[in-house]
Amino acid sequence: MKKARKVAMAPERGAVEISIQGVWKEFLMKNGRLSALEDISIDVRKGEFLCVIGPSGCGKSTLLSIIAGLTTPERGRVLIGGKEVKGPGRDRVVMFQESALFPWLTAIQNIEFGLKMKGVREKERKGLALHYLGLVSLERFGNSYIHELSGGMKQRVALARALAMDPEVLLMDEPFAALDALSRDQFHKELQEIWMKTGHTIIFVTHNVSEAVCLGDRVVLFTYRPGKVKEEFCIEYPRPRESRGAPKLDAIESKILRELEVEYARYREEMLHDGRV
Amino acid sequence: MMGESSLAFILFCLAIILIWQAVAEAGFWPDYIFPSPAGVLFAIIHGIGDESFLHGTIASLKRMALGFGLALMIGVALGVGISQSRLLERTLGTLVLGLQTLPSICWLPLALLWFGLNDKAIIFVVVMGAVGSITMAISSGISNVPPIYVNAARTMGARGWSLFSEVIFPAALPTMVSGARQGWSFAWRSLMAGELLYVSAGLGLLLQMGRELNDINQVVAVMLVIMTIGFLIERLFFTTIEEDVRRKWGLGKRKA
Repeated sequence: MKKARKVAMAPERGAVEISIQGVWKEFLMKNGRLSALEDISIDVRKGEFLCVIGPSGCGKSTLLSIIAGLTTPERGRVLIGGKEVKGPGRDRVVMFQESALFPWLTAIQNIEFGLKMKGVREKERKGLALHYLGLVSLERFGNSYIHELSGGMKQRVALARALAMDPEVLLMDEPFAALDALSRDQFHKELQEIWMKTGHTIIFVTHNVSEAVCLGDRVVLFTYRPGKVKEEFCIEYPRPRESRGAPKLDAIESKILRELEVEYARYREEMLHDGRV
Repeated sequence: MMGESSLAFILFCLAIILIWQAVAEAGFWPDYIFPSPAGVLFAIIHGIGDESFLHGTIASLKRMALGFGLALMIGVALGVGISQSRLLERTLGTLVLGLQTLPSICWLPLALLWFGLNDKAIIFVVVMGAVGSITMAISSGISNVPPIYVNAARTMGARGWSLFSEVIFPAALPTMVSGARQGWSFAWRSLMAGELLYVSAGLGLLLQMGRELNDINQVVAVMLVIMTIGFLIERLFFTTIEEDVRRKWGLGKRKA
């Protein structure tokens, strides 16, 4: 506590919705401890779209899991709306890289599942689920089973399921990483439109710089192992933004890319080193 | 496709019957050693006519239903327990695995000493035949549920019983159904062995009676009945459910 902590903080005024305070996380490995996160402190304003970027293995997904309440940190804590996270809660919903949809349910039943857990009455569930399915333009696929849908459609259903929970906070763990570039661009556009309407607080984890720049109000860059906040970039640019073609965004993108490349170089070095041993 | 394969099967059966008839007519062996298709057919008609096959089948299936039902209850309880506790997995789980190497008919002498010469003994053997496969399938089905389903459900507020009944159980269902089918087929084999050794009603009794009366036609006829019933239940009933579940879950066809 004596050491002055570098807190990544939203520039604009507004209530702090998520406060990550001095979070540390270690994992036990075969050959000792692996420090995944080291002293992470980030404040996220209500309604802010925050992107966390870093190379594979920088602990960014672990951080998301801690905020979701699925993983417990060794030190530090996370506050959501001033209350400490003790476990999963309906105020936060995670959207995973794989869709994590239930294969034994149809698309619409998957959305209804969350509503049921939330305690929405049976009569209202169907209508709500249809509404959110419409929001992601999948009305016609409500009765399809998950394995009948394409990768992009699965993520649409997953997004609808998350939105239907109407959480304060949406935690997105590389949700578009497995999609082709064109579907991803389309998703970027639609996600921004939805977010501008709903005003969720979003933490979006990715290793794709142009995605982070396109979506984020702010981009926090993590170092490689242990994950620490290296730098943050505020992106003030009107929305909805396109994934490419804006010179100002391209400039920020190349700046972040340079920083990220330093981390990737460390990543490669360590891989090589591990290979020799 | 389906029609083609069943046509091939029917032709195959006809060919076997023709060869069988030819060998029987060639007269290498007397007809009380080597039966003819016609003799077996008459035995089948006779068995159906005097309802002995019907009563035998009902007696055997009653034992199966009772034994398999008990095995399901015990297997689900043990399987859930083993999947939830590391200690139970290492102790009880290992014991169940070990017991599965023991052919379940080996329980019959013990069962006869415990329960005496009655139905309880044979049902006990049926239970022991099915319970191991069911237990292992339930526990491995539950332990192998992808953590991402559980995590996704937990972030949506699923806890305790709703997490189990609405996520873990359906996610594990394909494995459980396969285990139930395997349990059934082990139990069916044990029941037949048991009915042969300890004679009282059932298809095994009819088989044994055929031997005692030196009626080889009845022996073969009852064998065919046992095979047909086994095929109908195991292949048609269980395999159909299994494939339905796997298709709906988006899993591929199971090999073998």
